[in-house]
Amino acid sequence: MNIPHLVALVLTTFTSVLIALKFLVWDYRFEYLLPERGYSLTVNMHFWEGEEGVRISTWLPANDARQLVDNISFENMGIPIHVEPTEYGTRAIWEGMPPSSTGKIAYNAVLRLKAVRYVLPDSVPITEPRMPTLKEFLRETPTIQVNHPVIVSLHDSLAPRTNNLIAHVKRFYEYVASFENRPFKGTTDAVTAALLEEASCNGKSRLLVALLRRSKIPARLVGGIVLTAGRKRTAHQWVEAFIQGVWVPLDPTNHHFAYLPENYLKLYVGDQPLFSFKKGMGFRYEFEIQYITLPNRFFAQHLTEHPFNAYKAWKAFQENGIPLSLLTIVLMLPVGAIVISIFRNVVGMQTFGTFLPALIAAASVTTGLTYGLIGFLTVITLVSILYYPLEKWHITHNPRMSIMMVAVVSALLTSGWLAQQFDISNITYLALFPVAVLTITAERMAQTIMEDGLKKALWVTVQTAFVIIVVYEIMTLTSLQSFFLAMPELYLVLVSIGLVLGRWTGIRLFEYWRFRHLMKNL
Amino acid sequence: MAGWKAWIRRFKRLHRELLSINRRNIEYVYPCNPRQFYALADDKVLTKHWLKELDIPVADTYMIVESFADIGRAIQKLKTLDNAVIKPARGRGGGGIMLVVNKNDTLQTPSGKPLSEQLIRQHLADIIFGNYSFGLSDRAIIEEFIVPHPVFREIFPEGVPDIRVIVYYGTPVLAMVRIPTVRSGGRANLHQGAMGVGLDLQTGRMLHGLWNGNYVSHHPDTGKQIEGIQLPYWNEVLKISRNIGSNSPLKYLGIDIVLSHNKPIVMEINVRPGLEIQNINKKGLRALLEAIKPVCKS
Repeated sequence: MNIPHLVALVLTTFTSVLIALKFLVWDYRFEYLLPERGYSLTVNMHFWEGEEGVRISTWLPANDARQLVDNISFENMGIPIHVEPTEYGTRAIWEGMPPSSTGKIAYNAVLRLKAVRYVLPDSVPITEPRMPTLKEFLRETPTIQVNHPVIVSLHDSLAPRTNNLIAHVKRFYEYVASFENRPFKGTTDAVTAALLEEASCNGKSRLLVALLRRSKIPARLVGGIVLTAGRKRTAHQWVEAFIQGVWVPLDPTNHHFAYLPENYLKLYVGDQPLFSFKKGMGFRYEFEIQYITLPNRFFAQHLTEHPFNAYKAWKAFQENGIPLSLLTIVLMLPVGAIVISIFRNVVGMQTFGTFLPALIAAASVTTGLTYGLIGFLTVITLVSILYYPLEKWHITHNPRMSIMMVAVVSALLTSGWLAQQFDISNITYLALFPVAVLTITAERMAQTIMEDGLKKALWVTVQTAFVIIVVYEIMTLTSLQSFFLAMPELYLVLVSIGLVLGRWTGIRLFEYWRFRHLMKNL
Repeated sequence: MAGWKAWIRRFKRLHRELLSINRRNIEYVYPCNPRQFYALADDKVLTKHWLKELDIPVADTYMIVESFADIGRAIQKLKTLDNAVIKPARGRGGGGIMLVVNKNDTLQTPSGKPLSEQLIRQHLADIIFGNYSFGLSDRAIIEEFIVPHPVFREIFPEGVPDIRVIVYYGTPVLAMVRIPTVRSGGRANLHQGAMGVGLDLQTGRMLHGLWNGNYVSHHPDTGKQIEGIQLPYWNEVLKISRNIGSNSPLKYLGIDIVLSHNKPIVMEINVRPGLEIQNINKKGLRALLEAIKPVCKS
């Protein structure tokens, strides 16, 4: 065994011991380090014929024991927005004159949700609620007709002959849940649902609320969205019954008894619409839902309370005004560099520059990978074209590079301007691309075209783009980022990989192809 | 299927015999070629000086252009010569080489295109500025224009073919000739489309060519046979290679030799010789090198 391998072994052993100590002795927990799944919900609200001003209101997601709003942002089109917490939920109202009579307002919420199951006792007596505020949830309304003969007779035929609240709730839930689900448009009241014995979520929920209230059990409608990736227009309603001081969820439509799945987003309570708008104006809404990966919410606290991690250093940078997203990606650069080394030394791929793919990947974190790649390719192609006249006029190296750098900066400024013209805000981030690196790449590309031909240059470009994509995906893995912050000793593993890779004398994958003639003729 | 067993055998043989790029760097280039001596190979002015001391034939140097002040004198010098080559001392891959022919007191290219004084001045300035050597300032060498031996002109009339000999601790290990083609534009550069021809190391006889991914027995443009052609001065080529190899502090070398009508002339020395020579000769370097001597240790 040679010295580099020995050093690699020592470093890896040290890292393994430290990690083992962290988890076995110092009480580190994976569940607090691993990222969580979250949702990005965008609610788009289109309006038209708003010449006399618009008024749109909706319910915003709010924090409770099972749902957490990480971040919420608005696109208001200049219309004043008013947000007020109410007893039914958080209400947002946009009201005023829009800059044009047709337009779109939207909000985006980043959400973390939890499933919750309620364990009910076997038997609870039905008692008159003591809190006066609960009276509201026993009352008859025009769509929840508690005292209507249809409801009364249905209730009397269903209700168990017992004072056990749980038995009542179960009996009514099972009855309503057995109805066919029908995609009815508009409002279905409790009586209609009872007569048809089929309904959509709001009809079934109203009937269940009516039956519960008839038994003197406080009950209410709940409105929200079932989050599934994609675009949709369907909101959802379910029921909550008040059992021993707790509002217990019941969804007779999707068959969840005392259980709320993880992807249920609660927006408001009560029998009301999710959206309302001023008479006379046109209105249409749409939900856009994506699954996203979010850092663990206990991550920071967990690291602060445990020894030997990089959280304090990371925090210190943040306090000095360095954005965390940038810092995180800089911390991941060595990971990217090692991945590139593997592509080059083990696979045998050729890329423009050793670190360039990692830097482009890092720069693409703000632009998104698609725009990053397009930007990278466009800039180096345009600038490498410039190389030819400069070469032809015998402009010497240093001035040539500075002229090409002017071109790179101009290309970036142009992209910013274009972004504004076409309202693609992502592109403006191209300005963050490492200018010097792009200049050198453009030169390298031009030289490759000159010396080895266009075909070869294109082939290297394809390989570079491929490596950028892979490196980007790895560097942006939230779990990997969290691990490096919690276990900075993992950097020593990178050093070990570098040491082993640097002494590896094996045949690169592409060399099997290169020496295929030799292999056939040996 | 009888085929796959044969493939596994070939695969295993490839592993034993092929010198991969990683192994070349780690086991040969790094330990055998100490970095402080790279200049001996990378700077052709130093290379020529050193080879002359060893009494090894190199192209006659007419002048070394060190600075802009020398450019005027260089032009005057060119006018007194019949022909010459201008090249950067630290160029790579044949970049920055200009051939100048003096015909009836006008300077022109070998194909007869006139070369203005201004163009030559500019070219010398580019070399000194380092345009052909990674932006490092450089010097230009004006040297003898070597006319290749008739055996080569017979095969392909343009350009200057050159022999590459891999030498390890003074022992020639593998050799090839690079012969220009129409595609390579007269340059003896494999990347640019020149034909590589394997050589019998003992006799200096040409074996077969590798061009455009195929083994060939004839030149692709002229159709002239190459297989079996004997290279002249082969013993001298071997002698020169051994001489350089055993006197050099650099122990793993690629030596580039051109054959003129009356002798072999060393053009350059390479500390990181390419690996394509293995494809061209159908022979793996690793097995050959390991047969010579235990691997250098860093």
